[in-house]
Amino acid sequence: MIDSVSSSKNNNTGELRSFGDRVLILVVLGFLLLLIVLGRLVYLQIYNHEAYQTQSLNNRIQIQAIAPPRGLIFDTNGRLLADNRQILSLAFVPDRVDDVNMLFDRLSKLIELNPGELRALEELVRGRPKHDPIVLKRDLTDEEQAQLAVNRHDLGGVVVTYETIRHYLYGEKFVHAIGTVRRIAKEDLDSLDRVNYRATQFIGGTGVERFYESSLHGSVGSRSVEVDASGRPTREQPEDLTPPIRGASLTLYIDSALQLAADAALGDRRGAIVAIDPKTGGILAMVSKPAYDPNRVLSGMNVDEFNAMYALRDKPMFNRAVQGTYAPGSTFKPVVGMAALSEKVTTWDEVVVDGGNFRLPGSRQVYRSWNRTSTSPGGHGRVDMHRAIYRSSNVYFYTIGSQLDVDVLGVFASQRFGIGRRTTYDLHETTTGVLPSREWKESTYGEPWYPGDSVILGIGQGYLSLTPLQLATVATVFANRGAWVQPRMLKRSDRYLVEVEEAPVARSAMLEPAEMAEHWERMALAMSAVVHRGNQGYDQNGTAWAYIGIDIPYTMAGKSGTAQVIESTREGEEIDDEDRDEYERNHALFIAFAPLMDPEIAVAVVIENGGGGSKEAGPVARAVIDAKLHPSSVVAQRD
Amino acid sequence: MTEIPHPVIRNTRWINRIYSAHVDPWLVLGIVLVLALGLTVMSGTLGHAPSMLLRHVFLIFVGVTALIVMAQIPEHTYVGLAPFAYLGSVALLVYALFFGDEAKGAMRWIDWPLVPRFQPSEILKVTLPLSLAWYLHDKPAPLRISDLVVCLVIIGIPVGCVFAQPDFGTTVLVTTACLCVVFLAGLRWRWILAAMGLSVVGFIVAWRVLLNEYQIQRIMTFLDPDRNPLGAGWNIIQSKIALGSGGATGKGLGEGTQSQLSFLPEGHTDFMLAVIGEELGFVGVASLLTFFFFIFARGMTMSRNSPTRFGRLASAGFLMMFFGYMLTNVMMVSGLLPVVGVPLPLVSYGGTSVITILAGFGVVTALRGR
Repeated sequence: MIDSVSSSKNNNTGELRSFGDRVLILVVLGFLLLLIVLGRLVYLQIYNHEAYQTQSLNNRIQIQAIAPPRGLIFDTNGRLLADNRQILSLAFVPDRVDDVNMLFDRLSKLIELNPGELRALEELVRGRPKHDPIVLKRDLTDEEQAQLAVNRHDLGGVVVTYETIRHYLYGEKFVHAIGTVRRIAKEDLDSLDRVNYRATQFIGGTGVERFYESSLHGSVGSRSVEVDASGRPTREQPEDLTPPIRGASLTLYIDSALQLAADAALGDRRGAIVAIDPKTGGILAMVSKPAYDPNRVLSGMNVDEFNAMYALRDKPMFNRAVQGTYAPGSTFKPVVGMAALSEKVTTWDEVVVDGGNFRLPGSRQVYRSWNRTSTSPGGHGRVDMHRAIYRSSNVYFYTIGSQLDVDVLGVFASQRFGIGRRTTYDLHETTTGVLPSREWKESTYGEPWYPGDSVILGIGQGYLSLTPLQLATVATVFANRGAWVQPRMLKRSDRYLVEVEEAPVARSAMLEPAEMAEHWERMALAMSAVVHRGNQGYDQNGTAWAYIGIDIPYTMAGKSGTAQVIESTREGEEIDDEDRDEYERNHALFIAFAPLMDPEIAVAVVIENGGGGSKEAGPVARAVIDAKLHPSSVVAQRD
Repeated sequence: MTEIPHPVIRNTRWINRIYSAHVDPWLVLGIVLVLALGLTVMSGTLGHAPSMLLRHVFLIFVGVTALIVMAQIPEHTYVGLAPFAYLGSVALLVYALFFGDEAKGAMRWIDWPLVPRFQPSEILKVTLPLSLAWYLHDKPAPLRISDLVVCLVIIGIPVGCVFAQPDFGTTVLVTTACLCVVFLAGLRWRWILAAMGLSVVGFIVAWRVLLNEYQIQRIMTFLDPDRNPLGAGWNIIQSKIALGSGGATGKGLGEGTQSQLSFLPEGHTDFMLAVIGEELGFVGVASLLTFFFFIFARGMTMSRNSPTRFGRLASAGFLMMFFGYMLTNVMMVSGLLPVVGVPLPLVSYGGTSVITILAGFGVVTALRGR
């Protein structure tokens, strides 16, 4: 460095001055650039401060929706049927997982996972935002939680989240009585109120849960939360909390003791039971079997299991009580009888000779009695209306049916009993069944109504079909001596319900001729003879007496029915029911109400492919009525 | 500008040696102010990670030690070491290019045992001005064309390596600072004008041919940050929100929601200025910039007062690096320049930057003469 100084000593001063000038240029340049920066800062921090202040607040304050707790459902005595519970679910966040398959392998070593889920999983990952957690398993057990917690370090991207789900205290025993919720699907989003359902995961799928969805759901709440950049809440702002409003709690007419008794009485058989309080129309019990456990569907069932269940021949998800339609068979005879009396087609005293066979004039077609054997055509001899009911004479009602115009019968059945109509106040799923008419047959089959159609309609066969709920309504109308009352689920609620637009139709007193009251009363008596007329000798007792009437401690009216599932293929050729395939056997039906005077309960029982109505369905109906009228005796029997 | 009186008595007790330490109090004052401000705000940002904070404090300590040590080394040692420093830097850059660690798509880092992970391009801030000064110290002003070509080669080799990593921001910054050295060494004005014309052409060529996807992406994002608010534009949007919401006096230390809630990425590294602006407001940022300018102006004065051409050029070159980094970072954070990933000297957390900068100031101090 010494040499550099000495060698250029002569031009050093010039070089120095030039260097100094140029340093000054750079410093001034730097200063000017810095001034630009300061100007920019003034612009950002002072001039535009408020705009950025707002943006900063928007950044960190996020409004989060809080799902309202769903309203509770109680039975008529205030016993809880459906509430909500919290479960822990295992989920993973796709954008925090590098290799989904590897994670799945690791997880399945720790807890039980369904391999079928993996396929559906890839589908799920594709169609959704990467930061949304995808649930792998719901309702973790304590043990599974512990396994996951211990191995947390190996499971990047795995989160355990709380979910609130519906809980049905009686599981499958009540699933068709009160319905269930289901997960909100993509298709629902268009029809739902997006704001109110923002945090909601479930909506009513069936039954009361569906009908009263708006009221059960409640109103969404909100809270403002300070969130970090990844949307994770850091702290709540307590002053900004709008609590959600819990959904309305419903009290139903369903009587859980009765429901359980009905469920037990039906046992493992396929079928349905509906019990109605004739005074109010309240549905006291509604059983459909086979059923399924809604809690499993909500918490643990995977797609494969669900589809397998859905495809079962026995259709456990199908609510037979309101959607299943069955030929009413002989349970329809009292309706035909009342129509005939009302239309003055016959009287109580008119006698038909029942030799077991019936032929329409000019026709070779033979209609047979139910009690024929290989050696005898059966029949019940001289029968009037009363005897035709308690003996269930086919020939009598073939005769009446052939004399009664189908459309006249149809109007009567529809108006007085609600047959062929949806009449329930608060169920969406009910079907109408089929009440045939001339017009109906023309439009459905393109054929005219034949006299033969009227003959078999007289004994409740042919095109006619009713749901068990409609059958129970028929029983209710007989219990009320002709007064119809609208079946309903809801007894009361803890607040005003939007679904209740107008009060359900109350027990209707029809304006009718004075003699009709006597007809109703005598029909009720005839139906009580079905159960109580006994010890009269062979072929003289009520059809159900031997099965339920012998030891009955109260008065009960009923009517059995045995509905053919398949028609006899050829005339004269009858296959014994026992020899048929299980699914081709006759359906067993029974309608009943009790006590005879001032009835408290009306019941319909349908047992699919159950065989004889009196023998199979009768005892079930009695067990349900026992539970209502003599609960202690039922308990004693069970013990 | 006064200086500590030179100790007259030598060979006395060690305590007097400390007093005789060859440091510039004004320069040190500026540095201490910047470091203090940076550390104060960082302690809030890194409150959740005390180990990171401690590491930063440790690196500052190493840097200050380096400053003091470098300041004691006589000038002729630097002259003698300059060519070796140059060769060493180039070797490290080439090494990093082939064996370095990749981060964010660039081969920048060297991770050796016992040494903190570092970027060899950091060292260039000090070694390249020394090398240029070494070459130019006996070349008369104005420079001959041959000298200029040699200078461009000296600059071109290491800068080429940096560009290949690729590190666009550092490439531009180092080149600019080096050109300033050449300018200070006495470049004819008409050449300067010619170079400016050429650079316009060069810009167009670079845009079309040399820049790769991610560099163009960054520039495009700069031009229109809202184009992809969750992608690369996010940083600029969030840092502008941080600065703007800070207002005149800021939200208070540790109260910056943008940074504390990690809306602002790299809030403790490249975007540290936004955190300062959010928590201390315009007052805080303006103070910081004033301190920076004070350091720069004081350093340039020391450079001008240096008795040798080597000292003048080397220290001015380093100061241009320092100021250039600072200015680029500040303009980037305030949305005046594209996001180029340049740390704020002395303030940003991260690696060895603070050590090289402080060591560089040690060199500046050593070269100001006695």
